[in-house]
Amino acid sequence: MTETKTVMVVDDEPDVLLSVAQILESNNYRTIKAKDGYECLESLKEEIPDVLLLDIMMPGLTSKELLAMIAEESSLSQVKIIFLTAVHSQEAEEGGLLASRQVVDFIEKPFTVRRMLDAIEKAMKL
Amino acid sequence: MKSEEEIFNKIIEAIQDIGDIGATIDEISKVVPLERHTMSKYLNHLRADGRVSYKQIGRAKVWFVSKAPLQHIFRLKEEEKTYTEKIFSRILSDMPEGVLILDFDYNILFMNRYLSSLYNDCLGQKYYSAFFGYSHDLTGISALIDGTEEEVESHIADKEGRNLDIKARRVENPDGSFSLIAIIRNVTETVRNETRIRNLSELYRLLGEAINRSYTIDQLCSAILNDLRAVINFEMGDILIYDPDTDLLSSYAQIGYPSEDETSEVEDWKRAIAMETIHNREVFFFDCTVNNDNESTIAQASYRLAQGYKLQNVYAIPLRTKGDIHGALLILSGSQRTIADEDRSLLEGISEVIAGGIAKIKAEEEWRLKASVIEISSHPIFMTNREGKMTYVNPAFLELLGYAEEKDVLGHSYSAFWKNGSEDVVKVVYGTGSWDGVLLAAKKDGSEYKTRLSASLIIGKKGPLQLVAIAEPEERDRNND
Repeated sequence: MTETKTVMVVDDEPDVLLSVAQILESNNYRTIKAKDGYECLESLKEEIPDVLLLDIMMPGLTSKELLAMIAEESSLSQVKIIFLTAVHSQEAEEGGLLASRQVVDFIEKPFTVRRMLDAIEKAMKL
Repeated sequence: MKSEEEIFNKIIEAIQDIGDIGATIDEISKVVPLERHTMSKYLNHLRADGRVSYKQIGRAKVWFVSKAPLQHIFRLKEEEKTYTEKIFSRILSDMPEGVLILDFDYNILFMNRYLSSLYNDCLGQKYYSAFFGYSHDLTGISALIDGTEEEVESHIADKEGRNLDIKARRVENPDGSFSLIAIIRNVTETVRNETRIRNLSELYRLLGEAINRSYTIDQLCSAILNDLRAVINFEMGDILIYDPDTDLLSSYAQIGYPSEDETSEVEDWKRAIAMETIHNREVFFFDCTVNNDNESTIAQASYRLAQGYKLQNVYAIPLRTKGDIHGALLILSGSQRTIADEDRSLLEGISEVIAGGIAKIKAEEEWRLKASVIEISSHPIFMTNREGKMTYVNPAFLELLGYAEEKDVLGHSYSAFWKNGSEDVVKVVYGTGSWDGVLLAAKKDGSEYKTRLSASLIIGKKGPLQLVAIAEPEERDRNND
């Protein structure tokens, strides 16, 4: 029996958060939902997901700050991060967001669910 | 005993009767029989009221009736003024607004320091000529002279192009005549700022319009250069668009160049400036009077361009959105016409709007390109909203189901075209994100055949957007055979 993998979804848009989580659960993933960076950090203290789906532009803690905090925590070093965002990838690259070795993919909104599921599956295999 | 006011009036009448050359105290005493010292006391009272004034001629004082109020204060030497007159004259002279006194024939009787600094000394001249270069009044002051108005206000440009705010009224003089007092403010700067704000609003409106209306980057760039030139006075300008894949620049718009002077050398210099600006990703400002010793490529190209066109400034601004660089805006100003700091700031700010417009058109072009792939695809493709209403179909879809036009399909429920499904595909896709399976495609003519459908949900910034599905007819080939 295969182990159920866990994906944490971090997005400040409730519709995106709920839909993505629901879709992932329908595709046999466990999900943890967080509406911002602070909630994400709190949840990471409780449980470590296999993949973190992270929106770049959120109120409060910036993605860069969140990435830096995750990088500092050795227990989180195996978490794969996928950006799921409306921000242009070149803009994210200039902001240094893609420099982290934990960031494995960058999905621009709008995206098809197939694209997201493929990215998660690929990240799980890394 | 006569009242003091009666005596004052008699003295004024006496001075007027003696004539324009003025009256000595002895001449006045012959008409108004008062002892010399008493007469002197009355005259000094009248002077203090501003109703008479005197000129010192030799050892004698020659008295005149003041035609213009305040006028006598400025005729006196400093040592002849009373304390109040000194304070008053200083306030009037140093007022940060112009004070002008005219007689009834538009002659300037008095102007304070504020006006002298603008027009030099033009006492005695017709004010409409001295200030405006006109041969008659156009400021409405004539209405005061003919008595139809007590006070007038006007806003008018003087002969130097300064914008003046004029507020004038008529005042009664001691001799019963009238003078005109005008308060004049040079509001050129205020008007300029207001005009600039208006122009800026107009420019942003035009830019927005250009971005919304332009179907191509060429159209957008040409419209923008025209609009910019209407607001910021520059001689020549270019917008060059950069292709990062080939590292090449293309000229998309030019304005102001004399076509016969456009040589390949000039083009090379401009491209060198634009390319350096793009690679450096920062603005470059060249002033031919200060930058000549800079040996960088961009400075040398600017120097040559400035020499060729007798330019004062070359200003190059990268056109960039946050992520991408799209090109460069070149603004060239002629000799003796420096691009002001505020215009440079404006151009930098506007460059982001221009870059945003270019990015938008590029994205639209890319979208149209991708859309054309879907349009020519032989696979039937359709989209539905959350309610399952058809929102998009490609030509292959119409062909598969035998419909001639999109309007026969769009807005209808997807279930009108797909049958025998044991489950609601739209519901499943919005719940799980995707669906794969076989359905019966229901053609317009009533025939049906099996079709494999592969559907996925599209998620946008705010949540689920659309279902997109690709159909693969399983039996069509067989049926066609």
